[in-house]
Amino acid sequence: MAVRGYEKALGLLRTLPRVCLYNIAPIPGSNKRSKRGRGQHGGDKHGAGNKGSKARQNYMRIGYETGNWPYYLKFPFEPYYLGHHLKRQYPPLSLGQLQLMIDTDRINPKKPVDLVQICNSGLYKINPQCKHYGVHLTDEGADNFTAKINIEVQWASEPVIAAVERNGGTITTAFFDPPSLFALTNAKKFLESGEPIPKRMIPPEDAISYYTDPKMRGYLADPDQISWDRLVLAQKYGYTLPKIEEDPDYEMLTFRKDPRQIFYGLEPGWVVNLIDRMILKPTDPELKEYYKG
Amino acid sequence: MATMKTLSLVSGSGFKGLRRRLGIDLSTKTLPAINSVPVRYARFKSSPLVSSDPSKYTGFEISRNPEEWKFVQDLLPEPVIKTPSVKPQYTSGWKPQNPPADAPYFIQRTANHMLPVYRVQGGPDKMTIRTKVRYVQGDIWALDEELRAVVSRAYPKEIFKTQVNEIAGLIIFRGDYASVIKEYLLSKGW
Repeated sequence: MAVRGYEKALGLLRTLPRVCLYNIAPIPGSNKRSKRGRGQHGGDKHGAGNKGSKARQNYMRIGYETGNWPYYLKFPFEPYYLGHHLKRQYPPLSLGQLQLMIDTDRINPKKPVDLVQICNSGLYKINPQCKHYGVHLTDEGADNFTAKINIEVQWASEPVIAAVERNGGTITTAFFDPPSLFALTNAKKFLESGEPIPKRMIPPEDAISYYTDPKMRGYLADPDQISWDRLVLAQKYGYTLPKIEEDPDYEMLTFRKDPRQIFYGLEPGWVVNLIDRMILKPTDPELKEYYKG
Repeated sequence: MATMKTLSLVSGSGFKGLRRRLGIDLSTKTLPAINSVPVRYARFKSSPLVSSDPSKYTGFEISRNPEEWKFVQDLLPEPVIKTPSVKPQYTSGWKPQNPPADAPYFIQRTANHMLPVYRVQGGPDKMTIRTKVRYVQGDIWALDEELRAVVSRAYPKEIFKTQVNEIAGLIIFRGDYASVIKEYLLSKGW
């Protein structure tokens, strides 16, 4: 026997979501758009007002001020804004905020902290498409900073470096090019994409001096020079430098990335398969050489 | 690895118009650089693979080393916000919630384990400052009275109003008193 129409409809209704304000559409024909009137008086001005440029759609050219000396010609050229849209930006993160993230277990100080860990906390906003090149660690809350961490940031000042090293921690400033930043700022999305891990490019010309400076703990600086400058900074700021060689976490505190590497422990060129939990490593010698140098 | 697909002008028969436009008949000459026109796809990542020949691609070895996989796991974010572990000291000023037992109301912490006290700027020129206390359960009027006393003690000369929304568990102060209220609530263990 054939199923009746209303039985079908009721069966369908049982599987449908419950009807509420958010999933009902308006009654067909209830929303009527007003039509442009025509005829002797029904038409009239059609909402364009009485006379003038709006009725005739002959607007003045942009910037014209009906005889005034126009604004765009009134003031001279301001060269200090030249190229401002091309400058690298580093969204700030204060030491106080970092300490709060550590106190509330949003960042694990027992492991090396880099841009991935800071972004994964969900409390730091960055967009590489807006020329954001990474974290600028600022000195606000430096007096209350007590965590012992191995942190890698993209920009830091001298008091920040002193505040981190005073507690027995280590800090590195490292540059990442935009394709690497896309992988770092959303590591999960990147790993799911199934693309090979990119290699890190060298910094641009105007940033080379910063990232090779041992005083700024640059990742391209001489490590011997850095350990000398750690001692110099301790004497300048008047604290005794804790000996990280005798620290039980020595391995963690001195764990660094290769200048071509963007993720800790994973080499560029590798492909991570999250579903089968395996890593694919290329064997082509030409490709290996590309990712190495 | 080559990334461009090339179309031969000479071998194909469907490019007569293009050949005429180039002017010279290239079919008899051997000029490989000119004889090919690169085809650029709109997007590199969505373009088809260069070759169906597998020898053109790199070989790979599969690694299932658990030591290497630990580094991958460190890159993945926590699926939920964990309850912070107990520590000997909190130098950032944050404290875990330890509410008084006899309070007639309860203030729930936010998902980030923070106090739900906010300073909100509004109005046409964003100059009207209000302070909001959210997630209040129980006797909200008792908390309102208590906070009013705290604020008027801190600012004796200021006149302010409060608005209590019992259903939403919300108290709104007219004025900027977020820091005073936060300090008081933290000292009480909320």
